Amino acid sequence: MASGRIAERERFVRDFLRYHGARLEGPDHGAFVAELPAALVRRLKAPLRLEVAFRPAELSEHPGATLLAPGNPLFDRMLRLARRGGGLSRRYLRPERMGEPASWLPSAGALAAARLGTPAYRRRLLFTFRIAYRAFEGYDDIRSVVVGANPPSAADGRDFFRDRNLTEEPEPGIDPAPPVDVEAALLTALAEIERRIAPQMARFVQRAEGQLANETERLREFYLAAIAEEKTRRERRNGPRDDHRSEGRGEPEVIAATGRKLEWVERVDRETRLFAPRVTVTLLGLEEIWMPVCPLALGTPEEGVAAELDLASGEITHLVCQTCKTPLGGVPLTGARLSSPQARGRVAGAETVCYPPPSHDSPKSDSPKHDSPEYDSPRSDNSWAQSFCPSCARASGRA
Amino acid sequence: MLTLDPGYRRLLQSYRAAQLDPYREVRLRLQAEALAARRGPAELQAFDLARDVIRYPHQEQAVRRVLEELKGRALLADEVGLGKTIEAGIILSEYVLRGLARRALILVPASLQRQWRDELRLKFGLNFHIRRRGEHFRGHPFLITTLDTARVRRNQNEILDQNYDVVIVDEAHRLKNHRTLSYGFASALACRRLLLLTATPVNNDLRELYNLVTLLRPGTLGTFPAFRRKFVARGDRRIPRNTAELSRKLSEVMIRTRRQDTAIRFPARTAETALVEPTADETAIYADVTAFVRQAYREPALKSAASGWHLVLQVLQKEIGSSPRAAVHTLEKLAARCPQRERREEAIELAQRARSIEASSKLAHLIELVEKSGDKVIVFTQFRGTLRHIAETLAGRGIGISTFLGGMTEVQREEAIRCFRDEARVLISTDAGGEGRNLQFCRRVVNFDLPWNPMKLEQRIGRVHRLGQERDVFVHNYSARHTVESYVLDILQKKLNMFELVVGELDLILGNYPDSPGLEDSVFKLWASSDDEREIERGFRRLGEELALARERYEHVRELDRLIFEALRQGTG
Repeated sequence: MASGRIAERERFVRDFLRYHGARLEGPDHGAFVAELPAALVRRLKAPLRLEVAFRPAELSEHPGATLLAPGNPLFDRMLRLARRGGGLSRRYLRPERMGEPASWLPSAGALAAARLGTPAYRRRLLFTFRIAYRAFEGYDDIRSVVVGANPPSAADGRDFFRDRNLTEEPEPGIDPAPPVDVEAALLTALAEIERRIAPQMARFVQRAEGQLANETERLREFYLAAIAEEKTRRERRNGPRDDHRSEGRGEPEVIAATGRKLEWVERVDRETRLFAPRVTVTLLGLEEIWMPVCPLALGTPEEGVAAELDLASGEITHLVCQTCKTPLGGVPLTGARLSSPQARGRVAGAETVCYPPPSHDSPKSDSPKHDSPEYDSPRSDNSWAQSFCPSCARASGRA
Repeated sequence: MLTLDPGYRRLLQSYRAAQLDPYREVRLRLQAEALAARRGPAELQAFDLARDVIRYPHQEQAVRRVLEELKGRALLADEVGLGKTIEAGIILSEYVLRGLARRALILVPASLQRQWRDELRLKFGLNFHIRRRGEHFRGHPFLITTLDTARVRRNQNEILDQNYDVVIVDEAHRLKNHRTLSYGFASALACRRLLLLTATPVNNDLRELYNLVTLLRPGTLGTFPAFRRKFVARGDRRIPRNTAELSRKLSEVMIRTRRQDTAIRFPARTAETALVEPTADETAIYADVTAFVRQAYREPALKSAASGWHLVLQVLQKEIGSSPRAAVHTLEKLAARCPQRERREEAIELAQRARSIEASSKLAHLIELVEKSGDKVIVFTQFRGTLRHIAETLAGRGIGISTFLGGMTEVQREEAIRCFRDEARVLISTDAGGEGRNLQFCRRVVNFDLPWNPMKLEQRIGRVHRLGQERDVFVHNYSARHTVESYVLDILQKKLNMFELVVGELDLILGNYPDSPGLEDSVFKLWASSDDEREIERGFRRLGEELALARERYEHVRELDRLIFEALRQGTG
């Protein structure tokens, strides 16, 4: 765990220095020397030639190196500078596999089964939040949520695969994307975050409130007892309390008791201010990601499956059974599934796989037969569709 | 409960206006945010990043308890020598690494400020700033200052306006009295975490322990009358009762490890004093410089502290006690700038004589020691002139040396230590800047000259006689008969038993000395204003008695603490 954190720190420092134009000398791992550009020297208050290390053991070989860790002023300045950076970006993901289906689909069998439509691009918004839990102790949780933004796709037929924000990439010069209701997307993301952290938050609040209640109760008992003692002392000295007599006289015990009360209120106020449980969500970053997707058809247009192939990850998403029109969600597509009918049940899992019974009575689609050459299937059976659709399987009694 | 930080609006606005940031910048930012995120309780990270810190089970256990159970408010009351400073450093470092400490304040006695700063920097990579007179407190997120400075009204107001994530008070028994300014100041501090460090939480009676606990968590022991009724034996305010319950309550805020509960072996410290017979030249120049100092000291123009000459004369007396070479620079300074012409001429003559003296009886002793013992040796001196003389002589005899002195860069210092560890036989060091460095591979220390302040002497010995040293330590003190140093050494040995103390005990003893920062001044005043040997002896006897009293007070406190905590331990047993 600790070595993971050190590696994380090292990666950040290397990225940071490179981004700001420093030239790094030395191995890719461990202590190194960086020549900093003048602007960075000023901003970091660092020497022109900076030697850094990340693990104490590295210092024996690099006695002049600065050990970079939280609390080190140089490292803290780097963090501060980086955290002042922007939080808004747009990325166009490159497809992992491009070209003709034959070059990326796993086998000839799959090629025979699947047909691709024209590539399109689906926009997603990646919200990154910091969730800060604060009470007696505090900790943070960094979480990201991806929200599919409407409209779902923007296929303008041009090269969306260029990573527009990378400086080394040429500007593809695409049209502005259609507008998106980003506030609605944020609300969706927040709702999702709230759902995800609900159990953790409940535990945190319960623990923190319990602690605060204990602290406050201890203070209450302490101060009430102290005030009562002042009163007893006064009564012992002056006899029973006589408000008229003591009013305005400023007896030391009365002053002390009042002082105690004020101290108590102040103390409880301070404890509550410092330690009352709070969970704050801060939006750190918003990234618009354009995913290259491709419509995909398996089986026949009437009884097969329409889906979308994510060209970046190779996953099939947005599956819809063409027989019963049931959305099937997303299913990871593996070579084995497409290529080997024998392996289907084993690989895909029992809940999504079924085989068509001979008497499968599928609901008839109202739509006319799709005669587009894109959907012209070389296979005549509808086993692809039924192999994915549990409702069809249930209807057939073979689930 | 769940609130959304309104900063999101700016981001959405930029999104609508398509004002994008470079992707790599955004990625860096998110990386930085992840690194800056406060981490929840997990395994300890500070040990992995600490340098030259041995992972002792008692320290690790204490750190875990403070972090997990005591929520950062604790009285660290381990017995002397168990490394409370390191313990506090690990806790602080852990909070910093978890992002939970962005502002920290350390309140320590003046003599320990540099030690704290160096240890935190070298061992934990934490850069603390020692506050200088007139500086603002808000300017530095990690600050070291003294309790005496902090509690002064104008400073107090500034400090109380800050919210500190961690406050550490070293020698926290100074907060034992609830009626003092220091206590009032400490209880008003707005800090999430407070660490009080003391080996002797009780100096006189149990009220002091009550006060410290109440400072950390008011109400833990109830009000004082209730505490007295329930937990203090009638007729003796020092003896606890209902010990099981008291012990349970104390464990909510206090951690105390006894030396016998650890597997740590504390090596013995053996001191040997070499009363060196100086050469005729050395004797003569010592006597003449002393006479010069005494005469100059009595002259009104030089005597007043405001003139600054008072300090110069004090330094000169120390230098001539170290070696004639060390005094050359100061004598030349006096020769050039002293207001009295007569003194200037005298200084010129003395400087010439001091420069010409080559033979040194102390050096002869040192060479003999180095050649006889097979050990590595650290030789301490206060002055560069002496250091150079020793270095030249030893190198001339083919003895491998390494030198360490103030003003060296960090790289040079590391190299000096490496050279001593791997190659050289002798490290010659001034007192400057050596704290926090690991020199436990050496066990023989030579005090070529003797600082008049025992704390400085202790800090020298502490560089090798500390947690982690596994062999017995030998301390060789060099002094010449009838010099200031011989008197100082005499009282340190006879009245303070200084060389038999455990690491850290001297701080506690001098804490009982009426005016410990002025000890050097007292010695100088006594030396410079006395006319004959008997007067000097009388003066040093008086000084010795004061120190003996301070030691007695400390022993009394140590015994009291032992009794109280023994009773509490038996109560829980």
